[in-house]
This record gives sequence, C-alpha cells and structure tokens, in this order.
Amino acid sequence: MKNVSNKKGKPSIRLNAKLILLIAIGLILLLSPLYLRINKPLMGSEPYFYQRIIKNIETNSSMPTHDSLSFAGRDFTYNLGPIFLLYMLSKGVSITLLLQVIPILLGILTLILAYFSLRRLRSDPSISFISVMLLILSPSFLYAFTKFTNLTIALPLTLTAFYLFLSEKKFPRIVSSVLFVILPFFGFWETIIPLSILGIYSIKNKEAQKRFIKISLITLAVMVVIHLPHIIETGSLGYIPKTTENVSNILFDIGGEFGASIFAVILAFFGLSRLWKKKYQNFKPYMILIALIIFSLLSKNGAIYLNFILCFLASRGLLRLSSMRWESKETRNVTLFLLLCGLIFSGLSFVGSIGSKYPTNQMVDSLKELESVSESQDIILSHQSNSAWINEIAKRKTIINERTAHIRDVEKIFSDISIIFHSRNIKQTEALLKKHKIKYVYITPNMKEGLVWDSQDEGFLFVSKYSKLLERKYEENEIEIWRIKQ
Amino acid sequence: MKKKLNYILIIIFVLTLLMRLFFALSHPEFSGDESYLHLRIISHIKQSGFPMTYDPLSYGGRTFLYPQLFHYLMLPFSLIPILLKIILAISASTIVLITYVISKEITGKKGVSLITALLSAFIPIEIQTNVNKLSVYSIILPLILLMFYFLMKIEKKRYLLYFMIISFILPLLHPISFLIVFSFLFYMIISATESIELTKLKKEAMIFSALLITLLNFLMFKKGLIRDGFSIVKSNISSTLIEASQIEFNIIQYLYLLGIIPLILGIIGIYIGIFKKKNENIILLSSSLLSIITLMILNVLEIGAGALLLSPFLIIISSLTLDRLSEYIKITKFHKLRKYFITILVLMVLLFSVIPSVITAVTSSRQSQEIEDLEWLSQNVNENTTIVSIPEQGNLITGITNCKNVVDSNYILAPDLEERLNDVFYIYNTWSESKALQLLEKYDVDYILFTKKAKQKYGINKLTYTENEKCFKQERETLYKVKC
Repeated sequence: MKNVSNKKGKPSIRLNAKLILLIAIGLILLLSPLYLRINKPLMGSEPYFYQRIIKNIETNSSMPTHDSLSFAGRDFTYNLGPIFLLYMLSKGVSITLLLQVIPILLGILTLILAYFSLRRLRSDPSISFISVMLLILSPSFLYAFTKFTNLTIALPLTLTAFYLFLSEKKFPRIVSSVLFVILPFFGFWETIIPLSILGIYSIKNKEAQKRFIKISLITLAVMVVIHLPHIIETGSLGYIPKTTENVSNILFDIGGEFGASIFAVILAFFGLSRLWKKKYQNFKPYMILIALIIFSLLSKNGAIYLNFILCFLASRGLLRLSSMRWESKETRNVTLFLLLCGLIFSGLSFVGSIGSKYPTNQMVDSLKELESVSESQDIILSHQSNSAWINEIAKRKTIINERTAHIRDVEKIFSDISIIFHSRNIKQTEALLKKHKIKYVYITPNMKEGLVWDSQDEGFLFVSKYSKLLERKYEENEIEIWRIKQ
Repeated sequence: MKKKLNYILIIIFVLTLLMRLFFALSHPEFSGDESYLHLRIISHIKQSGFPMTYDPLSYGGRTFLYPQLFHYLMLPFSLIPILLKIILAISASTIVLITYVISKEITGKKGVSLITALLSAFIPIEIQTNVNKLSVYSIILPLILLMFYFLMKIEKKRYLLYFMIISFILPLLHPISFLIVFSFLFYMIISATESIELTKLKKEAMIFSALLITLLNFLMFKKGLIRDGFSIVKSNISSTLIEASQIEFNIIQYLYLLGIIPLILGIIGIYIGIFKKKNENIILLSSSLLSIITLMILNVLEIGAGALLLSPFLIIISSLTLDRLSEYIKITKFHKLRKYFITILVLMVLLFSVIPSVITAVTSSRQSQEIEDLEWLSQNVNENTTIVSIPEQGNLITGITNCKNVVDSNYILAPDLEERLNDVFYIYNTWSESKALQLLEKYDVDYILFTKKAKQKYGINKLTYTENEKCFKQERETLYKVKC
C-alpha cells in the first residue's frame, strides 16, 4: 500500500515564509527614501534626467533627435530602453510617481529572481536565503533600487534573462534570448557584463555554449547597430573616467558611493577558500569573480554586478563559519554576531545617508534662482553630477554632463573644464570661459569639499576673487552662482 | 634563589616607577602638547557627561572624532590632578612586569627575563612619550603587550576571556588598535610559509579580535571614512607637507631613542627565533614588528610612534638572544666568567638605556617657556582670541588659554587641512609682511606663538616681518601680538 506523505505542504510553506521575510525586509529598506526624504526633492540625478526626457517626448509627441541642454546641445544618443519603458508607463501615471515606485517594485522582483535563480543553480536553500538577505543589506543593491537609475531596469532584466536561460523548456529559453538581445538598449556595460558572465557559465556545457554563441552574436550585432553610427559620426566613445575613480566604489565602508560591505568581502574570502578545495570543479565562480572585479575597475556600475557574486560567496563563508567546529563556542557566537552587525551596519549606514543626499531643498531653491537670473540660451558650468538638476530644475544648458557617450571632442571639453576649475591663471580661465560661451558657474558645497576642490583658495575659487569678469549673483547655504560678464 | 629573583623584579619595577614619579611630580603641570588635548576632553566629559563630538576651539571649530574611553577612565583620577600622574606612571611601569612574564614564556628562564625587564624599564622613546605626559600610550602599550601574552597562552580558557576583553577595550582607546589586525594577518601568513600549524583556538581568537577591532573602528570613524575614504588613515597630507608637519628624526637620534642594545639583540633574536628555532611566539612578536614597519613605510604611522611601538617588542625578542648567549657561554671556557658578562651587560644597559632614559626624562618633562607664556596669556585675553602655532603645539593653545587655534595635530576631519597647514607654513617662513598679514587676517589671528620648537622645525631664528612695531608687538618671549 502506498503512503502519501502528509508532509507535502511543509517545504513550500517554509519557502513562502522565507521569501515573504526577504520581501518584507527588502520593502522596508527600499521604502526608506519615502520616509527619510519627506518634503525633500527626489534623490539622485538620474530621475531628473529621465523626467526631463519623458516630458520632452510628451511635449513633442515623438522621440527627439537632439538634446539642446546637455553639453549645450548634442545628439540624442541616450539608452533608449529605460526611456521607452518609462514613456509607455507614463501614459497612465505621473512620471514622478513612476520614478519613485518602479525602483521599489523592480527591487523586489530582483530579490525574487535572485533567490529562484540560485535555487535553479542547485544552491542549498540556506545559501539562497542568506545570499539574498546579504544582497538586501548591501549598499550596492540599495543604491540601485532606492532611486531610479539605468540599472533599475537592466538588473532585473538581466536576472530574468539568466533565470529563463537556465530553464529546460523551449519557450522560456526563447524569451531569455530576446531579453539578452534587448540589453544593448540599456547600456554598453549593461550588455557586456551579463554576456561575459553567460559566456563563463557556458564553459564545458556544449548545449549552453551553442545558445550563448547565438545570443552573443545577435546581441553584439544589435550593439554595433546602435552605437556604430554615432561612433563614426562623432569619432568618440565617450569620456572614460580614471580607473582609480571606480576603485573607491568597490567598498562602501571606505568612502565609496555604493559598493560592498567590507564584512561581506571578509566573508566572501571564507566562502572562496571553501570553494578552493574543489577549485577545478568550482572554477566558474572564480572566473566570474575575476571578470567582475575587472569590470568594476572599468565601469562605475561594475561594482553593482560584482556585489551579486560577493553576496553569494559571503553566504557560503557565513555558513562555513557557523557550521565548522569551533574550539570555543563563545568565540564562535560573538564572531558571528560581529559579522552580522558589520553587515547590517553597512546597509544601515547607506540608508542613514539617504536623507542628506543631493539634491537638497536649498539646491532646488538656488536652481530656481538660477533660472530666474539667467536666460534660456545661457550655458552653465558646474560639476557633471549637477548637470541633470541644472537641466531639469533650472531648465538651462550645461557645458558638461554625466552622460558622455558619443560626444565629439569630449576629452578636450573635460580637459578645458578641468583647467577652468583648477587653474589659478586668471587670463587662462577667462579665455576658456569665453571659448565655451559659459555664462554662469554653479558651485555646490560638495564641490568645495573634495569633489572638485580641497581648499578655499584653489583654482576657480581663487580666480573668482580677483577676476573682473566674474560677478557673484548668489550665495546662500554655501551654494554660489557666478555670472561671467560679457 | 627564586625569591631573590622576584625581589629583583620588584626592585626594577619600583625603580622605574620612582623615576617616573620623580620627574612627573617635580613639575606642577603636564608637559607635551597632547596632554592638554586630553585634559580638555576630560574637562568636557566632566561638565557634560558625554563624549566630545564638536570642538569649538580646534581649527576655529570642527567635528571632533576621537575614541574617549581613556578619558572616561581618567575622569575619577582627574579630581585630584596628582592622582592622574601617579596612575599613569604605575600603568606605564607595568611594562616591566609584562615584559618579564612574556620573556619567561619564551625562554623559560628567570635570569634572562629579569635582564629583559630591566631593558624595558628604561626605553628612552617610551620615557619621552609618557613621563609627565597625559598620554594614552601609558595604557595602550601595556595592553598591547598583555594581549600578545594572552594569545600565547590562549589554550587556557581564562586567557581567552582576557584576550577578548582587551580586544574590545583597545579600539575604544586609540585607533592604533588597527595594528593588531595587521599583526595577526602577518602572523598567519608567516606561520603558513614556515609550515607552523597554529591551533584552531588561536586562529579563532585572532579572527574574532580582528573583526571586533575592525567593526569598532569603522563605527567610530565612519564619518571620516565616508568623507575622506582610506586617506583618513594616511592623514591626507601631501608629501611636501608631511615633511613640514612631522617631527624630524635623524638616524642617530632615532637609534638613541629606540635603544641600541634592544635593536641589535632584537634583530639577532628575530633571526634565531624565525629561522633557527621556528619559535611560534617569536614569529608572533615579529609579525607585529613587521606590521609596524609596514605602517611606517606607508606613512600611516609617524616615525616617533613607530619607534615607541617597536622598542618593547624588540626588547622582548632580545630575551631569546640573551638566552642563547647565556647557553653558549655555559658550554665554553668562559663559563666561569659568566658573572662578569652579566655585569658588563648590566653596565651596558646602564650606559645605553638608563642614562639616555634619565636624560630624556629630564628634557621632556621640563616646563617649557611657551607654557608659562600661554598661562600668562590665558589671564589677559578673552575666549574669542585666535592664536597660531605649529601643528605640534596647537593643543597647548586650546588647553592652556581656552582660545582657538589655527591648526593642531588632530588631523582627522580637520577642515581645509592642507590649506591651513600650507598657510601656517607661510606665516612662519615668509619674509613678506603683507603676505603674513593677509594670512593672519584670513584666520583672524591675534597672537603668534613662536617657540624653540617652531624655530627648530623651520630652521629659522626670527619672524622677519615682526620687526614692524606698528603691526606686531612681542608680548612675551614666545608670543607676538598682531596689532594690524
């Protein structure tokens, strides 16, 4: 007589409970901007960029070919993926609300996808759970999903593509291929990094290799079609920041804007050492880790992808530490407690900093003042991280911008701007200001605290005191607006 | 015999304590710049009950980031100032006892350990740093040595507990606790390369300690790390300014303060301990030496602080050299002259350690002219006065006069640090009166403190622009009033 197990319901209840817990914690953290920034403007620069572009499309009822504000006028060479998606969704909902809600929803989706992807890769349920928990607490994840960024859509899209790639069935695999093929519309690195990981995963798996080759050929072809005309026309890939600027983003605890927690890295070492014992069987995680470290040095957003594997390795490390035989139980318990505190500390530090992130109310006031004192054709100089706010709030042109893809002579422009910012030669600075037809210079507190200058007498700050060409029009809350007299 | 050796140890301890107390109590005030910083923090805690998080006087007003457990511990003793001096002298003197027990643990010999203890009683750099000074190193050094001792004996449960307690206390006292993390890292690496198997308990204890120290330091210095990143550890000073801001050492002075005997015997001890005997305890102590040297090379640790930390470790390691020497003499023809060798050794210790220590104690505990001048100034100015000095004397200004300074030696989160250090450099070195006045006006300076130390630092004898009596007046030997 066959017995039907009466324990059938239990595993799925446990799974649901774990998932619900992950979603609940994720929601609490991802909703933090809403309660930490009450009566404050939307956090970050990218939401303002997308807001401006969507409004532009709605006004003109067509996709623009030219952006008159960025770089004082440039071709519309932005990633169309997020723009198209936001535009379609904004038909029924206000764009501002969308920019707040989408990151939260996609963040939760990312967590769910990460969990099920790990399960599909036959990871231990504990490892899947802990990996996703560490992911939620990581500054990188919180950075990507507490405000709308390029990665807000690219990451869940990549994870969905991976998850479906791992499926045994035909239809999910086709959908996966389609998703990979549309990645180029979300960015260059947002395509290259997932393809590289997919390539490494497919090693020693002939069937996966065949699919990978097909997907990568089509995806790369799409990327070439998107970018090549612009490269040929402008002769430029874009402004490539120094590697050292990206290194600081790998670790959050020592000053990175996002990045991994140092305690996660320590745990990842333990996880790695565990895998090292069967290094030839576990070579894929090693190769993925090395590849992602290299990408982190090349691209600011690489650190966010790196974070995923770090969380996985850290979870293995944590499990290893907790399951291994300790000589002293007290040492074990306190050590594990310390590690958990460290991990939570990093996440909470990031959340704690949300309230003070730019733009502030004072900045918005100053940008409105900039709009009122200037004219629509005036070109504004500021650090590139301020450009999105100047474009959207003050509705003015900026000479430089964070989005540098396919800008003609972009290296020369940045070089000139660097001279304007750092030279104490009054004549040289005035000449360059005139050359680029800059009418106003907008200075924020963070520019004077290390973003551009380290001291009050450096470069432009020195020149502004003695140049007869410059006139201070606004100074409040350490924000300054300087006008260049013609 | 056993009792005799114990009495000798107590005599050494009492001698060093008496020497410290003699020099400390012969002056009513503390000497040294940092003493006044600590006094001010203790005073703040006494008034408010809370740690100081904002300093209105340093750099004209700045966020203050400094571990303050030391100040809470000193608070009860500060009610009677003489008690502060006594307790710190006792604490610093315990290095003798701790050195003895660690040496005994390494060599198993009481006689050799006694000589090592004698060496540790008279370390010139340690005397210079701690005698008549309100210095956190009076507590830090003994604690670090104890920590290493407990790690050596970690197999016993009570030592594990003590080790864990010190791991918690150390980061709350001083960021030098990070040294422990590097030491343990080097220890594990060197042990692995020398194929020495460390016990599981030892590894667990080290991992626990490293994590705890890292976490506590991150918690305390979070603001600084987020603002300045890893450069907070390097003090974020450009290479040209490092030369201007650190106390200059020449090699002879360095050897004098470090001690020639510990240096030579210590190096030999490292060779014997690592390459000949593969002694686990020597490897542990050598790892800390390696981490100190690494931090000095990376400019994270100043030269003076590096010498202070190197010396006790070198002395303890030299116990192995002395032990080998003693064993060697026993098997040679000279074994009958063993007592004479000991006598010569003690005389050498006297010549190269005791006498330099006493001389250092005399010079470093001496009340300097600037303290008198500043005490006079404190009676004649109001709280809104700003006084400029070299960074190494900034805390004297705030501590004695309760006035603002332009720069001091607390660089973490200091506002406009490079600019201020640069400007102070020009104030002391420029010959242009207008340039000097411009910079003095920038910081609203009312007085310039021009001391012997400033003269030595910049290699100048006078401030040429102060000859203009319309704008400057020499109020005291080291004080110039800015009248314009």
